Amino acid sequence: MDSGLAKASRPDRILLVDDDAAVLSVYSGILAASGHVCVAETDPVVAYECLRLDSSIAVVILDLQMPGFGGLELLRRIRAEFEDRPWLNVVVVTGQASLDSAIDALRLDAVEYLCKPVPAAQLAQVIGNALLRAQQTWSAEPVAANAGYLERLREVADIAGQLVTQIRGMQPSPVDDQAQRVKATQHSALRFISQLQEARRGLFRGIALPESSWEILIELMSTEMAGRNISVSGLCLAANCPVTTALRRIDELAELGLIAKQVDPTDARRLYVRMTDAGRQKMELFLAQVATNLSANVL
Amino acid sequence: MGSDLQRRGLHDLNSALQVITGNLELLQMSQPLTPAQGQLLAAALAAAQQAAQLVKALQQRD
Repeated sequence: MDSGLAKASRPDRILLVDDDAAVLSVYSGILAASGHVCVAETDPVVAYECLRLDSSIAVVILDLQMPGFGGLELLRRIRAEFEDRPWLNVVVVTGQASLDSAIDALRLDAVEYLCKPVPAAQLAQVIGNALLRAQQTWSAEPVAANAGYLERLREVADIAGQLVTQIRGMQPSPVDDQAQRVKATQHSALRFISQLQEARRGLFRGIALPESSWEILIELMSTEMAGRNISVSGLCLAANCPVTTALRRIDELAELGLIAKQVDPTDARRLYVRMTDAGRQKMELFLAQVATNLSANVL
Repeated sequence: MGSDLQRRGLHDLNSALQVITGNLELLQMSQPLTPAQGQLLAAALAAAQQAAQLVKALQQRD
């Protein structure tokens, strides 16, 4: 589970969203000249999906007037959905500036509100600054995505610390007493293990998941918590079983609706695996239960 | 008060101007340019920027 606490690589990509492909090509050209890596999308829905799958995006340039799904709506969704990515800097660019939309954009934490046509030098400077700010925020947020779990781990660590203090403070005692204490510890450990197994069984209404499926779920949860993507092949390695078995396990978990495969938007040859909302909820429930049982038994 | 059509038209003009000025600026960045080419580009860019100012003024009147 250590990988769950590992930090994902520093976000450095720029997502450009504008329904006009010619505008996107201009932005990409200007930003590429400054050495930035850009992803361009004309469809706001696809852009949102792209953002969901790619946590290396640091800055979003957003057009306000787009057919169907406007820039402000996309910004609203970004802020609602990616609370765990406080480093995301959003720059709004519009061909029709208005006080209302400027206020809305700034309320939704857009860092800049620019009017088309934006001079190349200004665009490069604004995006350079936004990227710098995004990366500073990212560095200052140690594993931001895991805040809730870190909190729980800290609680467990506190309890363990108290236990160590208690043990240190113990006076040497008669052999009988020590034997009794060892027995009590073993009893607690056994109770914890049986609670863990019960939690595992209870989670999927009696479906007994094979060990390799658990390894897959735990690895996937860990990489998602670290804000990283994992491919089918990466997951097979983590499953600690033959690749053919791992592939079958992945398909089984997908059939249960716990995980889903998705084509990498930047490379169609690669398949990513992610938790579904239902799968994530179950795993979160399970982890919370484990944390509770752990603290109950340690105490 | 301008109509929605006018507003939409001015918005689209700004997008077109973004494409024009942006590509002219990218051309300016590309090397090598002869002095004559540089002058032609600068003149085109100045005119596009003037057009952008006009659009902005029309939008502010709205």
